[in-house]
Amino acid sequence: MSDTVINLSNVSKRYRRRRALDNVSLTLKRGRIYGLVGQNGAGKTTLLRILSGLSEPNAGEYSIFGDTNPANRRRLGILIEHPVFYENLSWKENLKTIDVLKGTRSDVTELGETVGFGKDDDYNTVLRSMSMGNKQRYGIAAALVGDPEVVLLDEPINGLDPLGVKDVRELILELNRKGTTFLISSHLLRELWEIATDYIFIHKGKIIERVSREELQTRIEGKDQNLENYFVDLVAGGTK
Amino acid sequence: MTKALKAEARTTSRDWSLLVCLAVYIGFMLIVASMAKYLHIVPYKIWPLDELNRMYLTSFTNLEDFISWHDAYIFTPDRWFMDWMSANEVTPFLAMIFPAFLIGRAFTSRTINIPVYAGISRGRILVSKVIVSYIVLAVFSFVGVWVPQLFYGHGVPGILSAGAVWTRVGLRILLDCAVMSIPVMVTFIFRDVIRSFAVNIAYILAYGTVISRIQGNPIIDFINKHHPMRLATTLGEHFGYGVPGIPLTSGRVIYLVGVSVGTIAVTSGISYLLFRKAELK
Repeated sequence: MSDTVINLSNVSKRYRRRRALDNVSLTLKRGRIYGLVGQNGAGKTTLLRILSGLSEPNAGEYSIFGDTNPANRRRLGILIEHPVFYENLSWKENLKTIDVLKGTRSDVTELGETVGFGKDDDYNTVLRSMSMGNKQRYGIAAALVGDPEVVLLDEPINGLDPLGVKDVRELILELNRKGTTFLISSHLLRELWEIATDYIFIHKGKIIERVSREELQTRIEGKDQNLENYFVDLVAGGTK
Repeated sequence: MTKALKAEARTTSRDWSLLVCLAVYIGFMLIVASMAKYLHIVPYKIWPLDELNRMYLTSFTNLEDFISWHDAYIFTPDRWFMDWMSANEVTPFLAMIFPAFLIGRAFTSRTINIPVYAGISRGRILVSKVIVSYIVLAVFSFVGVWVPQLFYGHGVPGILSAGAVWTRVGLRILLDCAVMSIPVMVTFIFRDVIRSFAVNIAYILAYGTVISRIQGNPIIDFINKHHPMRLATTLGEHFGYGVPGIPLTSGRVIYLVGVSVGTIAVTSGISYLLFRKAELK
């Protein structure tokens, strides 16, 4: 089994005049948790959208599990921006539908419980009438249907209460211990600091730095810095 | 393909708004049939646009003649069926609504992303959406005739043979799908509910009220001659109301099947080309 799960080679993407991604090359290795860090409009979501099949790059190539076949996406778990769901179905029916699409046989009840849908939550309540936090929980559960090898998460803790945030953090760490790779984009850098093993800094469509947690810790040690002000310095062109 | 189709059928069959539409449609048909059966009011008097149907105006010298003829008309199950088939308002009306409703809504609510995330190719997603849309259209088409048929025509002997009726039913369904294939393509161009709906209405109205009446322009004449909406109308027209019709020869069946399948293939091909690399929300 190859160590590389995702590979991008000179990928560029333009939206009319705006260049969202500029010649991005990136390799993601199995079993890591990558934190994707960047300002609004830096290209984080565009990168995730290309990997998830919503968008096509204007130039460059990318492969998932060493292949360009879209069918390989069934081995990914995806949550981009907001969870998407069939409004007329309950969370359980929605998860079952994804299971059918992926051709897997997941225990969707157990999956729901993993993300915090308890026995008090009515299985028959349609998703559109659920709270924002529960929709977000559903989005995370949907990304985990079929036991994916790589999970792409864009702002996964949006709308979650502190307990929900803690649950999701623990879930990510637990799944990672079992071998799942994560690529997580988040504005909440403190949260990323808690879980990520590697950081990818993206600015104006370019990857400006890629560093492991250990290396980053060494760099900021004794400088009274954290991920947040390291990122600010990096973007501002300050000293590393 | 099977997985995409299964998931599509699963979500569509649980779509309550669609089931409510179907219930309302059945209710409407039952009211129409009840009025015909108990109040002796023929359905076409309350079928809003039908008296403007071109066929009536060309078949009778004036509307009064038509109404007096219609009042004296004896309905039999297969004639009811053919009457309904000649009513060319139903399919265009459904064609305005269904693609925007079933496919446009998937783009607006972003549920089209779900099979993409699951690794289903866009070609398969398109085919499954189109197939399910046509099945829904066929269900509505059947309901539109069988509900009043079973209610009103029960026990009345038919004139046409079962085979003749079913051949026309099959052709009508195929032509209905061909009629709807253009609004389906429009929905894949605009990829939302509002614009798709607006353009589909504009297209149907423009064709029904203006383009179909233009004569003399060779391109428009060609479109009018082979347009599935026109063919669907004439298919019913020739056998409804006792108007002497053109026999449905095997050559004509092949022509109707060819036009329908050709229209569906061309519009689906264009839809695929547009959808293949399209940016999804």
